[in-house]
Amino acid sequence: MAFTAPPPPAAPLIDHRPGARRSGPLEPLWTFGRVLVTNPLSFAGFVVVLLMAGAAVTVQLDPRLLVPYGPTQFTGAYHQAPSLAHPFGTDELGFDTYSNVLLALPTDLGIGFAIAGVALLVGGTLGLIAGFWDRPRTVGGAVSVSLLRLTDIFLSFPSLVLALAITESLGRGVDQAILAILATWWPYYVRLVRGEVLAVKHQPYITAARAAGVGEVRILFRHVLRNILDPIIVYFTLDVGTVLVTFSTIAFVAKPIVYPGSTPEWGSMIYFYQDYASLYPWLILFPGLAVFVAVFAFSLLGDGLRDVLDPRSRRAFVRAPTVAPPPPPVPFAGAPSLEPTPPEAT
Amino acid sequence: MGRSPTDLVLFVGKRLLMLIPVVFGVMAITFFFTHVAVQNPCVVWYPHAKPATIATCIRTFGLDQPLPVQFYRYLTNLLAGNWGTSPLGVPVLPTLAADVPATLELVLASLALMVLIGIPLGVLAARSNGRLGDHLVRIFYLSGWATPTYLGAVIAAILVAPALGLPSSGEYSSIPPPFPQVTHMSVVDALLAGNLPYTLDAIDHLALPAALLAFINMGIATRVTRSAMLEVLPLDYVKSARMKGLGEFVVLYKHALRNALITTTTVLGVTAGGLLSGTVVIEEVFAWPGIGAYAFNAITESNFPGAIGVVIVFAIGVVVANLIADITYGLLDPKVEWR
Amino acid sequence: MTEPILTVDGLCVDYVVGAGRFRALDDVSFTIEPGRVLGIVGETGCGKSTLAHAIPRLLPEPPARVRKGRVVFQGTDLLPLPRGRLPSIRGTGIGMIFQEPLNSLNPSFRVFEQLAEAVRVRRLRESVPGARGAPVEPGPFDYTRRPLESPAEALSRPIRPGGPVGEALARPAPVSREVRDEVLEYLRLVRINDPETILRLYPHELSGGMRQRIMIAMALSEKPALLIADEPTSALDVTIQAQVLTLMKELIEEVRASILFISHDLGVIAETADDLGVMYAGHLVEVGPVAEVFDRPRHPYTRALLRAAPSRYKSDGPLDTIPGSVPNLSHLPAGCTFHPRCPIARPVCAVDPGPPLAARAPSPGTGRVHASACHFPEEVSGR
Repeated sequence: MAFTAPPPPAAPLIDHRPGARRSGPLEPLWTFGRVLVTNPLSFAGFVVVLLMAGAAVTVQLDPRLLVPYGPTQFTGAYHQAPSLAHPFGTDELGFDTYSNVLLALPTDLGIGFAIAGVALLVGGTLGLIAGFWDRPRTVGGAVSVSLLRLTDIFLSFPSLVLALAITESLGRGVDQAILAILATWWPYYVRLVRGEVLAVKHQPYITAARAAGVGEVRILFRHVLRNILDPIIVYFTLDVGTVLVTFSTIAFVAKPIVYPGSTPEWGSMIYFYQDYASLYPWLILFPGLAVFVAVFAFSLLGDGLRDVLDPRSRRAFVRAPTVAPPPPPVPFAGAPSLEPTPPEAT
Repeated sequence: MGRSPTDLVLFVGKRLLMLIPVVFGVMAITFFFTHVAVQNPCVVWYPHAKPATIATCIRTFGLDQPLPVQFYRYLTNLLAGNWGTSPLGVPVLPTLAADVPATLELVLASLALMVLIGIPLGVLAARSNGRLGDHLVRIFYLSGWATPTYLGAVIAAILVAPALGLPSSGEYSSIPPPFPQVTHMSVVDALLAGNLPYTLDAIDHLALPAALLAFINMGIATRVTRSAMLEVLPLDYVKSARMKGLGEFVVLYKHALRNALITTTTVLGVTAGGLLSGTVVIEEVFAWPGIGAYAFNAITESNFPGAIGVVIVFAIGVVVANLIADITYGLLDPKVEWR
Repeated sequence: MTEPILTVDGLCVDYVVGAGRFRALDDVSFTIEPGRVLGIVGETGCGKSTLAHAIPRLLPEPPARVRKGRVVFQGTDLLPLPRGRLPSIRGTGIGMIFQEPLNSLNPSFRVFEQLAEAVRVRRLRESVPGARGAPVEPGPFDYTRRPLESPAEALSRPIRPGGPVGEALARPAPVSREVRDEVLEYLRLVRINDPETILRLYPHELSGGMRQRIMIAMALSEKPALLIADEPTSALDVTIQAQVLTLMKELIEEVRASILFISHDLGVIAETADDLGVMYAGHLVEVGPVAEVFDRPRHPYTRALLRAAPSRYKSDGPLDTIPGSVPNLSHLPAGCTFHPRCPIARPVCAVDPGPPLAARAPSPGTGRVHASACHFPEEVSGR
């Protein structure tokens, strides 16, 4: 049989498929940009997230740039409906709701990021280890299995209720509430990262790297971690929103933060104003809207990212297996039929 | 073939046995957070007690004993039904047991709404993938996801309820109802008694909290149904169903959804945690007499044994929900062998 | 001349994926006459499957988009039909056998349920006068003119296309005994020895060859006027391939339906088809009676294909190869798509795509069309 080498393709074969990657150090940015371009809702979410983060940083650095009144500064007007002077109205103590909603931004957003971030670091590291060194009848295997059982049990608790009880047992306060959420949050990341590692670690390219003599630690970080980043980014984006809601719910129920006080927080604001809600709806509407918009923005962003990055729904994006766009450049080297015979046939 | 009735009994039995270590683990974790993570539990349990009382408490609960002994006592107490008392001296377990049916009713009603609305929405979104319908469905379920329960509950109770003319507190308009409460589920009891006005009244009372709870947790059902449908729709058997000349409705809801549901079922088990968490605030705001409201009050009243009791009950609830989802999965997917 | 069962005329299908646009089918035209088997060959990605799916309108849109063309089945152009009318055509007019026996049966239902469904739908339609095959003409109050359709309407449409069918629905469903007997009959038709046992099984409990037989039985149970077989043997083991192919050949003799048989295997086509169409990069480059095309190919691509296949057409020396590679469907060469790889290409080939196939008159010898999209067909067949 004669085999001819394939000549170089006439036109550059640009891979237009959505799953196609541009490699290089900027690859994650490319992916990100591709998502935003294809999904207008995600783009909207991204813009809102950026705006909120910007506002939070500004408020943290110098509140006077955005916030007209201090958290407990008397404005001279009680129960004012929203107006130009007080966009979100004022309350029965004469405090400006707009200022308080904005002043709560760094607290709520920061806590959302911090808790999700620490949970990601702790749970993610454990998951990475548990997934990578899980060979049975080794120390790693034993650790991996017991960690899995532990997270299984943790995942049985409705995290909000457990976090509430833990906040209670640690003594009410912001730090306690944060610790409580963290205590219930990390197992989700263990579960996620471990699963992704297991899905990746037996791929041929990992075996190939090992065969090429790449060290285990290097394989873990360079090859495994890099290939599971997508679903983790997606989950983290969605999770910031979830943490935000959970924290503000704990603030509403367990009241670890005193409102009105020096650090306002949306959940505690709504708790404080809920009795007046039918008379002065703006008092709960605006802090509530703040939570809603923040979580909604993160969810839009994460949901859109997931459509593209999550392997389980990536097909959703590419769709239809009959769409097999450009055929690979195969030479016609003495093939008995035009397509390679299926592997079973050999 | 591994799917005979005896196999089914084994399948369910094996999964029931697997519950035992999980429930044991749940108790171990609650023990950790009540006895180990806390410096002096008695101070937490009785925050306003005098030092002498605290000392008594430490002796009574054996907190001066080594941890394994404490854990043994904790376990035996839990298993014997001694779940502690509230600061006012009310035993926790009987109160919880009395409140479980109301919460169960609320959660089941929400679950029914999630299935009846959320799953067709997921099918709709998958059909119009990337187009307007998909975006609208996404906005809808993400709105639910992004609504903090407390905000939704407050708005539903004080703004939506009057607008729709629906009641916003309790199970019935007039209590006690003129019939025996057999199951302690408002609608079911009224139906059992054959009392139509009370049934309708009970449904009215249930409607808003159940709808809100469903709305908040709808996202997962819709989202998963959508992606499962997107995986299934391009497959050949959907095409061959179309080629049989079946209408779009039958193709989607019989042939495609039947297979997509296998994925959705497993995820519905996971939503149990979200539904139960949601009851804490919703039951409180709607004065629904379930364990969610009990949990809320336990937290506000520093009723620590009560709060831990709810945590354990909820955890067992989640475990059982996952068990049911697992069994349903086995029933739905003919490839699963019942062994 | 008899009226063709199927006329495909100038069919163009694009895939729009992101910014890319792939011309999967470009100006494909052919006809299938009653009782004839048309085989289509071509490489992976040349548009064979797209063609098979485009005829009963099974392509997912988007990303697929039918740019232009007509697909006339028994006198009706299927492309402009409202979606709601398609079930009645698919159910009793066109049957299809898919490539992947793993996926073509629903994993959640037993074999009986799936076959009985097909039989029931067909019986329901047959019980309605005028409802079989051709769609019902829309009446003045026809719901298909409504802009929006509710799920309930979509549900009722295929089974109840008009007034008389509503009555049919009110009648009791066909007796299950009859349906069962008919299902068994079709299973025996596809040479299944123990149909009673097979009926109770789920698809995953069956072998690939068995599943493909059931798929064939299902397609035949709709008594289609046109059967589309989209690579029915490609995904099977070679031994099973031979069995299924033998079955297909026997059934073609027995049923005498018009068949569109798609394959990448020239040998398979040679054994089963009456006519042969050759596809290259979304174009149908040559159509004609099988023997004629094999003996005197009139397109250089066809000739190259035949020379590349190990068979009686070439018994000595190394097999030939086609230089170059298949063009990217988003950047097709101008003119004839094959010209960059063609040994007899002239300057005109880079500009003019060649004569349209439909324009060719039947050859005087056999009375059958043997058309080629090449500018110099005589030169090809002469060499």
